[in-house]
Amino acid sequence: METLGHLATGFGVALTPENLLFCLSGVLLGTLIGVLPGIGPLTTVALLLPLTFQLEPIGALIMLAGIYYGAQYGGSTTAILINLPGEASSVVTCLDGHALARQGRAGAALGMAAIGSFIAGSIATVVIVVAGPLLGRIALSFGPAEYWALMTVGLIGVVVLARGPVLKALGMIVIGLVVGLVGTDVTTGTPRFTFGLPELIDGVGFAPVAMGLFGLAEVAINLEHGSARNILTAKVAGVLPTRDDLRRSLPAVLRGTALGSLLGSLPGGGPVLSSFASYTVEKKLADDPSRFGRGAIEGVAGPEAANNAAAQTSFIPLLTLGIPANPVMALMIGAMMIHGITPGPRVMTAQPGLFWGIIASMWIGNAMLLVLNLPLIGLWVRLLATPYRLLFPMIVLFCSLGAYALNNSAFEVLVMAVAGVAGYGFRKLGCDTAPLLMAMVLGPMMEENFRRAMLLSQGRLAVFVERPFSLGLLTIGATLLLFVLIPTVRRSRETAFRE
Amino acid sequence: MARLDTSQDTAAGLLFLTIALLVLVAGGQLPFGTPAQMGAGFVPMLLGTGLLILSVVILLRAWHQPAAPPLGRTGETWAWRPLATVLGAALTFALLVPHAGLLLSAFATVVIAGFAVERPRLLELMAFAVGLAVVVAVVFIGLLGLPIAWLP
Repeated sequence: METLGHLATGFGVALTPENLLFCLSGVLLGTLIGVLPGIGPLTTVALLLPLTFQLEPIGALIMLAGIYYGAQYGGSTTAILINLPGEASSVVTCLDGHALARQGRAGAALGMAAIGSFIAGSIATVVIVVAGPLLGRIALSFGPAEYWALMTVGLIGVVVLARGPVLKALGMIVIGLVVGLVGTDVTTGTPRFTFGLPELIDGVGFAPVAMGLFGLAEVAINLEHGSARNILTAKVAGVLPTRDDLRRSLPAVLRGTALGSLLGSLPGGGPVLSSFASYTVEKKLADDPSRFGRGAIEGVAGPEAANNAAAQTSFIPLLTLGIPANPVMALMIGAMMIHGITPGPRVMTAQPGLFWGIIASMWIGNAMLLVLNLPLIGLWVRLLATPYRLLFPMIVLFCSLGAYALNNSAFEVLVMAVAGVAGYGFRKLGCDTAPLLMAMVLGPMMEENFRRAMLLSQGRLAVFVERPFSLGLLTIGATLLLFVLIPTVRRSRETAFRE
Repeated sequence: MARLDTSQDTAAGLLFLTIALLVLVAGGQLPFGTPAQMGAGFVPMLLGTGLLILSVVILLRAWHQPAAPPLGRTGETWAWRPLATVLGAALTFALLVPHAGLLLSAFATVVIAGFAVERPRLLELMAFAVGLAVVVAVVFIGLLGLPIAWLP
């Protein structure tokens, strides 16, 4: 009963006209930008972040959440139609989605992706409603040691998922942690690594870094591969899947939702892992696995449901623990802090309207996506026909303006440019930049909790293994790390990523 | 060919090593403290040491296993033109916008970025830049009220 009361509060907040408008504009803008080839959800959220600065905190977060789902869905559209994933979680959608598109069934694939995402989104919202408060209550008993252990496991998860060799991903994590150190040391007030620049006293902003790493660097790399692409601009007819499609897809959607809800809520998990896992499961369970890769509709429906469910449940650690599960959530934390909200277990009790309003708006946002996307697919298709030679100057402008608008300072644009060069260089050296960004955001929180835990234990490292919860988490982390370092597992991970 | 494949790892290892040394040098000047009362330099030194060890392992592996299977795309080349123009465009924006207003800086940014491709179609690019500058200014200044000037 208590849950119903909370939900009523949430819908009361989310259904006010202005919040509905923010949700709608978020979903629309997110899809609009996310559908552009080469722009993933992370870039989309970073680009549109300045739009929300002037809003009330609740409106801003509702809009950002809408942007996130919109971008995720837009990415799938791009994957299906032009076989160019905007980001890793759409890679799987390319396999069968694009195969269907080549058979002239793009409409069915897009429609099924939308329906699957909606079902998954609805179920995942229920999962958040049930699991959120539960986890929040546990989180209240967490001390610094538990927080530190949790974030460590999260970073290990990021290493496991990173592209390329494990050792380099670990290196990128450490570099990210160092970048996170820049600025005034919270405990002692000493400036660190600021090179005497007053702009760095508050640290390096992660939004400009994200835009540099994933906007500018991405553009520079894409341009090297030429702008010739194979676009299916043929008319997309009949977005409604057939009865047979539905029959094949429904179980896949439900399995995908379960996988996504579970994996999405783990720190370091999220949409990428979920869609890969769902695709693998569907292929294993299929009567005729050879259909996969040649246009199996359940190979689109399952992963799409999984990544949408994961996108939703990745809000659980954010809202209950204040820990981002993936880089997009890291941006969300930043957005919350800009609005003066410190994410953590106390948000739920101190600001129930905000907490439940966001959750209710997730479901509304998903419903809007379904209603909007089926009729608007034609528009997205036309957008996809924008030649890259015009698209990329636009991305560069948006990034520059976005970075500038953060603080009305040219310095942030400089930070973005530096991050752009660094991102380009790292990518050329085979180093994935996602771990760097994650570590950069978690770094200050990890240091603070580490130091506090050590202070409480009077300098004994053993504190991290004496508390049962922290020990459990660290054991999980160590096991994961061992697994990726063992050669046989590593090889299968590489083949999985190449697929 | 094998050497070419590992050179990526070697370069990454050397880069990590350089960063580690910089962190250790800069972190060494900060108060270190004790495990119970950590100073500002404690965690930086810890991280610097960690990165140092990692970079050495990466370098040793790169030199001792020249036949290791290549990871990722091999034979990467650096294309300077796209990188330089994209950066130039962003930096131009940073320099211009406080003085010249959004309309002009947006136009300049788009045009400069457009030169990242080998043979930019000038007329199309100019027209697109004008249109985009107007749209962006109307949306961000007119509708959203960002405190940026329209013109100088």
